Amino acid sequence: MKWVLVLLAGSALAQEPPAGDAQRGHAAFLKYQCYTCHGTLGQGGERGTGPKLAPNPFPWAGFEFQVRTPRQDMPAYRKQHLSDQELADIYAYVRSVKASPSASAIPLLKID
Amino acid sequence: MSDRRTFLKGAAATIAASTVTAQAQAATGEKKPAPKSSGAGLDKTIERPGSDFMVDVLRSLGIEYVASNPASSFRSLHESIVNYGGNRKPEFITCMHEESSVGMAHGYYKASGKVMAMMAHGSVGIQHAAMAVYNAWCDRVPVMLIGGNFLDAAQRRPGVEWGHCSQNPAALLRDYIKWDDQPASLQHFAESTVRAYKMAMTPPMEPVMIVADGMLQEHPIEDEKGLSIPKLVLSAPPQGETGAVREAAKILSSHEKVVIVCERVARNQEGVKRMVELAEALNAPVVDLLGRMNFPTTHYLCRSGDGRALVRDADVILFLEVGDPWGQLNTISDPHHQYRRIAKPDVKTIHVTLADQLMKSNYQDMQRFCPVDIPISADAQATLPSLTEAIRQISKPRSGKTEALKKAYQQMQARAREAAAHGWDASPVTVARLSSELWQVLKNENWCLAESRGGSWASRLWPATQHHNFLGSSGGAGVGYIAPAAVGAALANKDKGIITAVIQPDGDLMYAPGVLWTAAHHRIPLLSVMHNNRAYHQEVMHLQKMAGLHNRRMDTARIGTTIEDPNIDYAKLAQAQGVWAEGPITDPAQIGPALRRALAVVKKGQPALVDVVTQGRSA
Repeated sequence: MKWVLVLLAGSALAQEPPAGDAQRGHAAFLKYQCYTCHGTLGQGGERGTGPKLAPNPFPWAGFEFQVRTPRQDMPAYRKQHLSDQELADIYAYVRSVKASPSASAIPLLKID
Repeated sequence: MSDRRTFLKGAAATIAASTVTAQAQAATGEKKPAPKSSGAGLDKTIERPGSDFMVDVLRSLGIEYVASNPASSFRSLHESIVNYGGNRKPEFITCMHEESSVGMAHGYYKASGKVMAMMAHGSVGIQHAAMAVYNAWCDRVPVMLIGGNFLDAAQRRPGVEWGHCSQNPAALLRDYIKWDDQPASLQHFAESTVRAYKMAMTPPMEPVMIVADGMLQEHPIEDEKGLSIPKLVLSAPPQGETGAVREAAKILSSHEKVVIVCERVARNQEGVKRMVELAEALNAPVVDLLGRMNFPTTHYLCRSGDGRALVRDADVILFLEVGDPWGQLNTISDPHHQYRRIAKPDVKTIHVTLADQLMKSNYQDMQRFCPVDIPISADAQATLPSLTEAIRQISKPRSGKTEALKKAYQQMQARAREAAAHGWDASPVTVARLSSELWQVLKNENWCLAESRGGSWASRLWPATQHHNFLGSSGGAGVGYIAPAAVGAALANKDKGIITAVIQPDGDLMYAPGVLWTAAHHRIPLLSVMHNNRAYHQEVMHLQKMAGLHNRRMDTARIGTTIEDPNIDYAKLAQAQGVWAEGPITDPAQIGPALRRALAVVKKGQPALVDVVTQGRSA
C-alpha cells in the first residue's frame, strides 16, 4: 500500500529529476547506508527489509517524497543530513543500474 | 616427585585436621571420633565409583553423545564415560564453550529426534550455557543438561572449587527449563534422570537439568544390589478434545477463505504427511513459518511467500503451534510503534497449541496475548489425524479451487525466481545467488539445511519435501546458535548419508568459533558457507532507524555495528582449527567451483567452509 501511495504521488507530480551524477550517487548510496536495506545495486532485500529500487526506479517526485517523508519503517533522510544534490546524485545512480538477466535466462534458477 | 609432593601435602593436611579436631574437643570437653573422609584414602582406590552408575543411567536412556568442555566438577563422570563406558554411547564430544555444547545438542535433536546430553561446570559453566538453553526453551527442544557441583562444603577443596559451586545450580536456568533436580543419592540420580528425560520428551518438549553432585560421582557405590534404573516409557502426546476438534472442523469446512499457519508442528516425516492430508482435505493454502519443516515447498498448497496477503483476506485462520499468532494478525511499525491490523476484524481463529500448558512469567517469549475463537490445548501433530477426519466427515475438498490455487502457487514461485535474479552478478554476492549456488551442489544429495527460516531464499527457492531438509532456526533469536546447531545436526546426520549444510552468518560464528575445531576433531562432515556481510547487519539498520527518528546523520550507522577494519579471514580461522576452507570469495562465478571442492571434502567425512563476501542481511 505504501508504494501505491508513493507512486500515486509521483504520478501526480511527475517532473523531470534534477541533474545528478551517477558516480557520486553510488558513493552517496553507500555512504548513507541506502544499500543496507536495498542492496548495493538497489536490487531490494528479502523478508521485506527494502523494496527493489533499480532498474527503472519510480518517478523522481515519488522517490524524493519517500526519502524525505517515508512511510512505515524506512528512516527519514532530511535535507540537513542528505542534501538535495546528494539525493539527485543517488537517483542518478539508481537510474543508471542496468537490469539483471531475467530468471528464465539464468540456468541456476531453473529449479525443478 | 609429583606423587611425593602430593603425598606430603595430603599428610600435612591430615595432621593439621587431626590437630584442629583435638583442639576443638579439648575446648568443649567432649571426646568425639575423628572425622573420616568417605572418599579414597591415600592408599586406596575406588573400583566402582558412583559415576560409573551414572553412565549406566545415561546408557539406559540411549544417549549417544555428551557434549562438554572438560571440568573438575564432573571429572569423575567424564572419566567413567571414557574408561568405564569406553567412550561409546555416550561418547564425549569435546567443546570449547558451554554455549556450543547446548547449541550442538539443540541442532542434534532437530536432525535426529534424539536427546543429547551436555555437562556444564558448576556456576561458571552453567552461566556460559544459559543463553543457548534459552534458545532451546523458546524452540521447544529437549536437551539433557548435567551440572557439576560439590554440594557438601566440607568436602570442597579451598579456592576455585568454592567459587564454582552453588547452593542451587539450576536456579539460573529455572525460568527456561522444564524441570530440574539435584539428587542426593545414586538411586535418586537414576530416578530423577529418567524422570527428567521423560519430561523433556513429552510435548511441549523442553530442556531439563540434573545436577550431578561431585562426591556422589567420586565416592564408591555402597550398595550396588540396591540400585535400579527405572524403565523409560515416554508419554503419548495429548490430542485435542473431541468436541473442540469437531467444532473447529465445522468452522473450517463452512468457510471459503481458510488459511493454515503452522510453525512447530511436525516432529518427523509422519507429521509432514499429516499436514498434507489436512491441507488437501480443506484444499486450503498453508503458510509454513518454518519453526520445523512442516509442509513440502513443492506442494501447490504451500504458499508461505504469500502469507501476509492470505492472512489479510482470510475468513478463518487455523494456527498450528504458532509462537506468535497475534503477530500474524496485527503489526506494530518500527520505529514509530504504530499499531495496524492485518487480518479482517471478524476473522475466525483456531489455535492448536501446547503453549498454555507450559508458560513461565519472567522471560517474555510467550508473546502478546491473542484471544482465539477455538483454542485447543493439545499437541498439533497428534491432533492432525482427528481434525482431518472430522473435516472429511463434514465436507469434501473444494476441488473446484484447485486450478486457481495451482496458478497462485506458480505465480508465487515465479516471483521468487525473478526477485532472486535481481543483482545476480553483484559483488558483494547476493544471498539469493549464494543460495542458488548452494542448491546446485545439494540438489542431487539427500540434504539438510541446518538453519532455515521463513522468508529465506532457501525456503523460497529450494524444493524441500523431507522433514530433515529444513531444521528451522534458534527459537530465541539468541545470536551464536547457528554454528553449533549446524555441527550438532551434522553429527546426527553423518551416519545417515545426509549432507548437512549451513549458510553461516559471520557475526553468529564469532560468538564461539571454536565449534569449528570440534567439527574437525570429531570428523563431523558439515558444509559451511559463510554469509559474510562483515557486519551485525540488522543492527546497522537499527542505528539508521534511530538516526532518522532523532533527525541525525545516517552515515555513522556503521560505528559499532560492522565487523571490518580488519576484515576477518574466515578461511584462515577455519584452517587454523583443522577445517578445510577457501575464501574470501567476492566474485559470484567462483562460488560454484569452491562449493564443489568443499562438498568432496564433506563426502569424505570432514568439515569444510567456503567464505563468501555477501550483501547485507537480506539482499
